[in-house]
Amino acid sequence: MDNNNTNTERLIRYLDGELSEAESEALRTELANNTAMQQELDNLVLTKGVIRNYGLSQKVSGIHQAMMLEMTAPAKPVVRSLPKMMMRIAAAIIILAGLFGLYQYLAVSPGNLYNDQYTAYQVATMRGTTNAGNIEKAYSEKKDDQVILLYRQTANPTANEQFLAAQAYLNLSNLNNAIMLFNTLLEKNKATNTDTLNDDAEYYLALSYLKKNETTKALPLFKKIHDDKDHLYHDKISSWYLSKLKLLNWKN
Amino acid sequence: MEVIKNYGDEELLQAIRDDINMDAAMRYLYRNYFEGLSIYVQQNQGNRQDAEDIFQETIVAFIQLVQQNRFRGDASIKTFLFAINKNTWLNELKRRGRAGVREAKFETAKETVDEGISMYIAGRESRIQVLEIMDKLGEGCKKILLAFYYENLSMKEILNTMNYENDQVLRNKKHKCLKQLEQLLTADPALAKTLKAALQYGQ
Repeated sequence: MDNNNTNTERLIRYLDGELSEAESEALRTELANNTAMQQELDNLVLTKGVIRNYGLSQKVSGIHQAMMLEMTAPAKPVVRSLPKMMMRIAAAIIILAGLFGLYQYLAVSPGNLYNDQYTAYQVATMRGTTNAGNIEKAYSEKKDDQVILLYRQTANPTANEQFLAAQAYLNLSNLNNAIMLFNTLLEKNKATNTDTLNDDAEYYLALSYLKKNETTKALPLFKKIHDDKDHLYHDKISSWYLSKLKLLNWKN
Repeated sequence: MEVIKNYGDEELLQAIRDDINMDAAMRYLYRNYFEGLSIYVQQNQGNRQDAEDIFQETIVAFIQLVQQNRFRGDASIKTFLFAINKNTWLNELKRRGRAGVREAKFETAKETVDEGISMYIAGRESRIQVLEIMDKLGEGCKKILLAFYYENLSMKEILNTMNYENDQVLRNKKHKCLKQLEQLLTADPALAKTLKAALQYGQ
């Protein structure tokens, strides 16, 4: 082995940290006096650095490929089977229906249903009435107390007067008297086989029961009105309204 | 299944300095900084491929600068990476002769990183030449040198993975490979000079 090769061998061992401390010290002394040898060591150090740089570049390159795949991978499409999807839709519908039903159940009340329907009876709409007496006049002027007072003073009130008195009681929320008078009127009609204000009385009697929260009595009357296409108030009682009444009745 | 590790700045720097779990550290750098840094390149005449190439080099530079203790930690990792990425890209634009107006920007941008870092970035072209030189080494040489000098494996560990008679035969082969590479590198004195300056060896 020639001198150059020996020096190279020593320099590489020095570079790799394989020389003893004494050998290293001797080499460093030699290097200080041998420019060519120092140059060779510098080149070997450079070579080692280049290898490390290359290794790192290769490593980063490998990670780069993997990361680009990871970062550009499209999100996996969610594949759902048809039956599963149908079940999900059905479940959603059931939940929505349940929530809607719960809302209706919580929201339905006699007051709400009464206010949905109630409009004050107008004398002008009274059919077949020609007697513009004091009771009717007082009712037109919305003097409900006066209507009741006059009615009580009337010995033989007509069906019209009795109906207006019942309306006055209803307006004043004297529901027992309103119900009694509407019922009396209907019974008289039945007994005399007449139908004076019969549809009106049935409708407002039903409303009176509803306001009093006696849904078991209000419901058959509203159902009768709903089922009778010739009834004067038939159009006012929809199936939906009847359903809400049933819900209220069930709630009660 | 890979566990995604998150790092604080100091923890990441420590992992890189100590060469601990480098794969996880590099993946963290990609996940957290690639998109942000690639925007700069793509908004400055680069395309997606340019952005990827520049980011790769940014990561290599960052790791080496950290391992050489040239990152002083007076800026966040994000800021430091951005500076390297920006300078590497401006340098590349200059190399492509597309600097023009960007020339001024390049000169200004260089001031944002210290001289040593700029020199490292400026050595990019030389490192591309290195890749070509490394390819001239045989696969066996490349494998031995990388195993010993990059992966820090002992001769015994390398012997277990390669087909050599004994430790001494492998050692002789390694010395020959190293000498061969040295000669390839120093055959071009200009290249050797640039690489020395860029990589700051001997410090």
